[in-house]
Amino acid sequence: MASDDRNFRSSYYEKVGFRSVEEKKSLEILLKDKPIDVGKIRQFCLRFTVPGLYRNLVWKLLLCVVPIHVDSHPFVMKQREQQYKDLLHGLKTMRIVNNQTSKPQLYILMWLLETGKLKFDFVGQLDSELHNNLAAISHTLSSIFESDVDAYWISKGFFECVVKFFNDIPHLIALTKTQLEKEDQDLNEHLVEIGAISAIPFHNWLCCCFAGIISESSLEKVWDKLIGGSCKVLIFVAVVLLITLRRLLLKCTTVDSVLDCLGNISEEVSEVIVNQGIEMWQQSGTSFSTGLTQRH
Amino acid sequence: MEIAELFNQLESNQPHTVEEIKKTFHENFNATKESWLVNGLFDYYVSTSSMRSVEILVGVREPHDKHLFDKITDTLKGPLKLQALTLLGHIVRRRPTWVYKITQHQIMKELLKLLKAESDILCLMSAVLVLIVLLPMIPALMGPYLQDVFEVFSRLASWNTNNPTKLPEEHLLHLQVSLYALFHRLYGMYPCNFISFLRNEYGMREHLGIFSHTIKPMLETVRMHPLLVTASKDAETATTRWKKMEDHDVIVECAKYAIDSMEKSREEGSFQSINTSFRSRGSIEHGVALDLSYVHHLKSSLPTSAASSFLSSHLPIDQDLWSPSIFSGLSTPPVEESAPTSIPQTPNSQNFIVSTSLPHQEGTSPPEAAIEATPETTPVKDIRHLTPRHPPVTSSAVRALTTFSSGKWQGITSGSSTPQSQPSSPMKKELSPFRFPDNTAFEQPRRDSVSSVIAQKLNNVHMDRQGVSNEVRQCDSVLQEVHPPHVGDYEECEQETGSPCTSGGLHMPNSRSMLDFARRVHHRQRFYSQCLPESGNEGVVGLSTGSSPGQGSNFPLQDKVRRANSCPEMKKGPGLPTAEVNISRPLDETEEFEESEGPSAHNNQNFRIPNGKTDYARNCEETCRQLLSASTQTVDWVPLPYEHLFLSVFPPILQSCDMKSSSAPSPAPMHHQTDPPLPRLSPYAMVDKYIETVVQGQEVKKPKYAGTETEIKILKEQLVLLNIQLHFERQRREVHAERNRRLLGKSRSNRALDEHNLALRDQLSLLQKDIEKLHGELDKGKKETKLKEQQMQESITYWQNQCIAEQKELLELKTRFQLLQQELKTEVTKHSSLLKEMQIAEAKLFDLGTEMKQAIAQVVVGEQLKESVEQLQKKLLLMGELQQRYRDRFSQLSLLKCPDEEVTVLQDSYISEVQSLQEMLEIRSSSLEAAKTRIAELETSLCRKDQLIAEQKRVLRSLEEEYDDRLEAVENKYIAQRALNKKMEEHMLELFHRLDLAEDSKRKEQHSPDSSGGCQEAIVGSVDSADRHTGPSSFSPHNSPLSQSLSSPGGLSVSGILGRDCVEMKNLQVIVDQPERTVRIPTNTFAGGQSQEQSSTMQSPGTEPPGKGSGQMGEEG
Repeated sequence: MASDDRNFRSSYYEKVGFRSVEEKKSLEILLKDKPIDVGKIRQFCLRFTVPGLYRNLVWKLLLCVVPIHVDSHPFVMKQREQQYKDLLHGLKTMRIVNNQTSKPQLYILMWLLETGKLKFDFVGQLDSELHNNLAAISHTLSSIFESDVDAYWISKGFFECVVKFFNDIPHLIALTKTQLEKEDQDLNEHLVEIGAISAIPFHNWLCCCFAGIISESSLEKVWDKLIGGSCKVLIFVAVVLLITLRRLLLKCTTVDSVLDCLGNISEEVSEVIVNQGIEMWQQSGTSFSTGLTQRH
Repeated sequence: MEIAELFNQLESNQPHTVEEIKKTFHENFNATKESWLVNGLFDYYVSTSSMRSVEILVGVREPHDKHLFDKITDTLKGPLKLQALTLLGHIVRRRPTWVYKITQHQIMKELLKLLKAESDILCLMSAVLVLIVLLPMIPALMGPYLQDVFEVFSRLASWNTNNPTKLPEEHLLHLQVSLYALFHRLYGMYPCNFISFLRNEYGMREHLGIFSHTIKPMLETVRMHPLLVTASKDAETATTRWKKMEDHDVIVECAKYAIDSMEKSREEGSFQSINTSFRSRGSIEHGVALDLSYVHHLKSSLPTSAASSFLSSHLPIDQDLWSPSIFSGLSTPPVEESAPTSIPQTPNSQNFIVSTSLPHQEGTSPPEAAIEATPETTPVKDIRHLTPRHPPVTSSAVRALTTFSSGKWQGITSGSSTPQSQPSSPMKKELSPFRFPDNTAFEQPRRDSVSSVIAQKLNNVHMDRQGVSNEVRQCDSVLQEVHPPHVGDYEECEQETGSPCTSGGLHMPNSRSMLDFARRVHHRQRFYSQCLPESGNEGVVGLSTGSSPGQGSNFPLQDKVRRANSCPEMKKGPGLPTAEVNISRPLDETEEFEESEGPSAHNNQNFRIPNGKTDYARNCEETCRQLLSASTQTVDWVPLPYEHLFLSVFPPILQSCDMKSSSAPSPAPMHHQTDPPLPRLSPYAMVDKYIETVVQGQEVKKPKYAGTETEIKILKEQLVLLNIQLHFERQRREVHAERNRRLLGKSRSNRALDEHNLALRDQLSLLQKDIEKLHGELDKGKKETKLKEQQMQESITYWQNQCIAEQKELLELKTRFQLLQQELKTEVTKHSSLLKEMQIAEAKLFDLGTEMKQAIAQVVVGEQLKESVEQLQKKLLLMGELQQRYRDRFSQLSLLKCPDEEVTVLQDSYISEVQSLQEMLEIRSSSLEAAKTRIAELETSLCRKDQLIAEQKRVLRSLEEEYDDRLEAVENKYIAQRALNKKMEEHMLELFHRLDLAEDSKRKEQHSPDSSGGCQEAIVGSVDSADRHTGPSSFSPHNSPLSQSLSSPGGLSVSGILGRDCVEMKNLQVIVDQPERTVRIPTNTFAGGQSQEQSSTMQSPGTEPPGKGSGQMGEEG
């Protein structure tokens, strides 16, 4: 098995808390499999932060952009590219887009076109809340990935993912609130008191998976988990976000100041938020880890 | 609370408020560590001299002592040093726990500096007394300061020389007293250092005067210190020496070396203390009359010699009755009211008798009982039993000498037990010669009848010259080390200063001017004449000797008289007619008697304690304590307390001087005028007398000097000095009291041990009784056992006889028995031979029987054999016949014989057959093996192929999957393509529609040129909008081409043309804005005339039926 090839010290590294020392190697081993075991990669994503070098490939694998057989990757990618070009061409031909159209909008339009949901009134369609959030996601992705084709395809995967849990969002928001109450009662009381709890854009956060709210470099880690299949990580990120900004929030007395405060999150803060959020998520969620051990 | 109020309340006359205030002060002290409180209290004390503030200051705790010392040190440098010294004196006397720190503090140096430089008598006295009190408290810490202390001593000693300003005589006296005390402390505590200092200091010629006039007299009052021999300078300042000694131990130790009766320790057993107690008691009560009558009575009742001796010892008591209270004219209220009343009624003779028996009682009674009984309940008894104790008077000088050479002395004195032999006692002879030179040289030393050891040592030169006894020489050898340098000088000095010396330093008290002395004597005489007419004579006699020049020559005479008197009394004591003579008494007396033969018994009244009479000493202590308590009581209410204190503090001196004066006049009035020696008065005695004179002087001189300021000033100073000294003496008294308590405790434990011993003894006697009883029982038991033994013996002899008879009988029987046995044996042999014979006969018989049986059996067998022979013969016949027949048949068989070849052929054929069969078998088996291997090979190849196939399948599957993936991607692409197509189709349709519209409008334009302008506009507008479509601004829904075309002004004209459709056309703008689904309806209505196909494609994105969709797909594919 793959674990045999791993450094025998890796388990000790993990024990003493050096995560991600051997991640890259283990991921490489996983990727060497033929065909690639998507389940394992998914577990890997849930457990570790994906190294930046392989993020493209891993995300594509998990979002079914490329198949599990490495041999057919070039072919499939060629097809994807053609498809992208066709779509783009079509859109251009129909004069829905031109060269000035922004990438996120383009991606959304392409996606809508591909799924046959594009309407005549596509401008109005783009203006809807969902599509704005999706635009934020694809904006982030387009800055992460250089290739337009990759960006489009991964965006597409995200769109589908978001659409999948879109209906569950109210439930997730409720969970977020209870979690916040559990973790930091004072803050929760304070927010409830000043009425900010209802004003905080939880819906937006969950919908756009924090794209545009947290800086990209940190967001990647969260999205690793998201792609791994856990949309719950978003809850913890939201809670930790509030707890991390606790002092500032407790100072705020009006709803506007709270929102203002939440609007400005620096890169360092977002790094902290993401790390703590993932930690909290890992502590609370034991289901994935048990599954992983069984598989091993 | 206000501070002022606090201080006011501190001086309140309510004791409990004062206590509270003190408590608050102490709390404050505990609360703060700053020095302000101490400073404040100190200032308060300086300004008011409040005793209560002193009490508070003395009680301060650890951090404040330093502040206090600091403050005192500061003040010592200023003008208020007297107050500071007084406070220091108070502190030191109270002895707080931190007093030892004084040596580490600057204050010590300051004090010594002051002592070295100060000329004001008050300050000086305070400082000296502080130093004296301090010395025994911190003996070990004084080492570094010793040299300074010695220098101070030296300065004081040379006071007169160094300080030309004359102090008043009275003040000088105080100074002398303090010097004397300091001397005793230093000598007692640091003898080596001190003597070496003196040697260095007074070895020089210029100091000789001071030495001879001041130091030497003082040296004469102390014994030789053993440490001079055994210790060194360093050893005596070492801490180990002082570790186990408390201050009272030190004081008592110092006092031990004093010859002066005052300084002498009471533990030494001086009976003076008892006398003192008696005297004070008597004086407080109405003892004067009693004693006088008592003396008279004695005179009459006793033989003259005894009476005179008794008088000699008892008269002093009369003079002891002196008390300042008498002088001051105050009547002392009786302290113990119950005690005195019965005394006058008691016959004195009886008293005396009782008293003689008392020692016995005391010897047996436990000390506690004595203590309880004597002082409070029976004061009279106390007096009584003390009186007989007087005779065993002996001098401390004797004791001192005896300690040096006791053996010799014992030998000498024991021989002279009778009064007649006493005059010839060698010691007396020795003593008198060396006294004479003294007398000629000095007035004071000559008068000093205390022949102290050191004095003797100092006089060793004289002694040598006159060939004095060996023991003195022994002393010399010791002494030569001590005073080698100025022995000669001293002698010279003696010779030079024959007349009263004025060149010395601070002279010893007894070197004071005779004038003063005479004056005092005068006063005293006067007083005596007033108060005690009967004893007036004695007073005159005793004191007048001081001025009589030729008394020295009377010394031996006086000596003799005294002895002659005292001894008969001793002898006759037990022999008194009514006396209950006890056995131990004579023993004691002889002892005492021997001691009293000492050479200088005439002047010193120290009692020698009989051996083993410690309870006496204890008794003394107890009475002393009584006395002390009595004195403290008096202090409180006598207006001039210091006088009383002096009285109480110096009792022995009074006693001693009185005794001295009394010792002379005892035997006959003739001697009174001539021979009483003027005793060398101790400083204490001088103070005593001084007080006396002062009191007198005040009475007399009042009219004279009243008003003179100097006098008042001197008197005031004196008052202060006395106060200082009073405090000093009080402190000493307390120290002694502490020691007394301790000793009392020890006596208790001794008593307990005694009782324990008694109990043990009782137990022992009981045990002995038990042993005796057991012995008796043992004897009885022995007798009984003897009787039993005899009986047993008898029975044994009887039984022995019997035994012998029986044995004889037994022998006879044995012989008979042997005979019988022999007979038996012969019988037995006979019997056996007979038995054998019989057996032989029987055997023969048996043989015969068996033979007969065999013969019978053979007969039977023979018959049977006959029968069988017959049968066999028959069988033989038959067999013969059968044989015959077989022979016949055999002859026929030989004809039927067959060949052997056939058999061999058969065998060969069989063998060949078997061989062929075996070959066949081998061939078969080999072919079988070949087939098996073939099968295995085939199987393996089959397996391989299976595996290959499986692998192929797997590859195929993966390939399939791979291609599925690809296919999926392609399909995906296709679906996207189709969606794209659809969208494009929609787009196309829309464009077609727009084209149609444009065509329609064109057609209509042709039909109706009126409205062509509007139509044209519409077309242009639509084209414009289509052009604009490509730009980014076209995203606005209102700019969509359809709506634009619809909302264009041309629309109105169209509606105008269409007529009925006009309303619907207007609404189209609204409808376009609606979501997709609703678009269909207006489109339908709008394109009512258009083909159904178009409408169906319009709705296709949302509602196209699958079948048609697939058909289209097929077409497109």
